[in-house]
Amino acid sequence: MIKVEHLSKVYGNRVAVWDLSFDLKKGEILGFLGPNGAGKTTTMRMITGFIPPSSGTATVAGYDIAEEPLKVKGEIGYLCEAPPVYREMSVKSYLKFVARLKKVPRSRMNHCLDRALQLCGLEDVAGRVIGNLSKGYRQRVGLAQAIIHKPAVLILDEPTVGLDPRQIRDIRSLITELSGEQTVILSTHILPEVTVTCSRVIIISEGQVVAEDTVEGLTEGLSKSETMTLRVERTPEGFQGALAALDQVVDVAVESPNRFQVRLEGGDATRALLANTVVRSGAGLLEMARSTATLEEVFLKLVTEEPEGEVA
Amino acid sequence: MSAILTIAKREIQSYFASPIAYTIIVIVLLMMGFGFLRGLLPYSALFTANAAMAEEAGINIRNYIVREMIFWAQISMMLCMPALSMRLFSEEKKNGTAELLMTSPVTTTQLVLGKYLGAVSILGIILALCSVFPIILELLANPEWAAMGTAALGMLLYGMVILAIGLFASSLTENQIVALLTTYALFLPLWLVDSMVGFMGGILDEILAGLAIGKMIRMLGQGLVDSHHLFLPVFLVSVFLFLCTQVLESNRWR
Ligand SMILES: Nc1ncnc2c1ncn2[C@@H]1O[C@H](COP(=O)(O)OP(=O)(O)OP(=O)(O)O)[C@@H](O)[C@H]1O
Ligand SMILES: [Mg+2]
Repeated sequence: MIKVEHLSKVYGNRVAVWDLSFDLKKGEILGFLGPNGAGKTTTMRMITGFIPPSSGTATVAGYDIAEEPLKVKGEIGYLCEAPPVYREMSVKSYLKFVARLKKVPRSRMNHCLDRALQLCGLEDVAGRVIGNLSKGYRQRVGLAQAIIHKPAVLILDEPTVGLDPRQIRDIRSLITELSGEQTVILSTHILPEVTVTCSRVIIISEGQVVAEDTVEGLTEGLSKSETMTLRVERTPEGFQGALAALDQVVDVAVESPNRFQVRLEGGDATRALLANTVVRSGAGLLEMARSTATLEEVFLKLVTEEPEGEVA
Repeated sequence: MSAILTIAKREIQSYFASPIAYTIIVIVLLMMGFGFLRGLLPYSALFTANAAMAEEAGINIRNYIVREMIFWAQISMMLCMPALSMRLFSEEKKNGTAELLMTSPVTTTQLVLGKYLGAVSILGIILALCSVFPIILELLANPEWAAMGTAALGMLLYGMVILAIGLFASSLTENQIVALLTTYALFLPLWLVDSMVGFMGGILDEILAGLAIGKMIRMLGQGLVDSHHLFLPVFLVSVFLFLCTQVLESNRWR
């Protein structure tokens, strides 16, 4: 449905996005994850045709973004970073305007309008002026605007920013609902969002892809090395060194005087060995628990451990 | 076509959602009304004093009233039209709604024409309201409707030129004040060039005379229709609308 090939964007001598490629099938939800300034918004703007790429191409629903931009734009619903609303308009007249702009036929106008209002929970404020709505409601109007013409592709730039927890849950389930018939790309720097809604994740940092996988794949990848939380009664001389000296232990971090985070590889065998070592050292083992890798760890690991030096 | 109308319609609604359109309409009408009275009062004084002599001396509505009104039309539109056009693209850029327009299935040309049509509609409303002046004259004397018609055409073309320049200026910046000042800076020379004609000599003089927008509206105000005076505004409008599409396109290439 969406095919991105070697997309790059360079502003002056600043690289915003570098050599980005991915392929998205119909009905998939792609989470675009990255810290501030990673290039998420820039990538979305290139796919939606707001800015042209410096090099590379993308096709949406079979249309090339450079050759048939109008066809591409017709297939996309786009919620940009700041909801693109006219503050002086009422919710209803604004959505009608967008629907006409997106070439919704007159006969389907009312149906599309009602559907968007209902899906985004806007029925109660349909007659109100957008400028007087709260930020969260304005965000919902932005979302309604993106889905009003039932586009084949939805591109959402941080769709849950500024919403309260209940609204966030509603919007997430809405996105999940919409997939299936619609292909979705959403960007975020909130990790649970990706775990909850997305089928695939691309982690991007400083304009480059650092990981691309399913959510499960990514968490699994990290759990080859696992982290154990260790609590002991006392720490005899050389205790930490003894642990670190074990072959399969990658790293020992002191959390508080009697509490350690031990990263190790090799699964059960290493864990048994670790327990043995602790007991033999006479530290008095109080607790040893496995902390499962969250996507957050994957994210931090990938983003912070990326070797430096390739972005100008 | 429907995309152009959709954009134009929203533009008009948005003008009337704020006091901008009302204020501008009122200011232009007040200044035109002032011009009307400035012409009408001496004219009727002369006419009631000695109608036959006034007629003989060539004191007629066209010379007296329309001339005065055309002058005030120029001043009021030069002041007010840039205020009408300054927000057209600047505001969209600032609010981020440009991102909606530029990612919708409409071409840049449709976008520019839609915006322009929206602003020109407000100008049309102003001109329609200005028809009260000839109607008042009709009650007093023969207002020479043909000359009134060409005067209105002159005002329309004059306003359209300013709006085209203003639209172009607003595509350059997201700051409305900058757009306003740029419009003044671009239009004022076109308007003032009129008074420079005849001092340069040669080809330069001819170029200046060709660009004199003030002369265009004055001639039309006198009922003198000349193909050059129709060509000039059409040319200027096309140039600035074209430049505007180029600016919007090139913004995306940055
Ligand atoms: N118009 C521009 N001119 C110059 N540099 C730009 C421009 N737009 C973006 N950049 C740069 O490109 C990089 C990527 O920006 P982008 O907005 O895509 O990040 P992002 O991933 O969306 O970040 P955030 O999470 O903060 O929204 C940043 O370093 C930014 O400074
Ligand atoms: Mg962003």
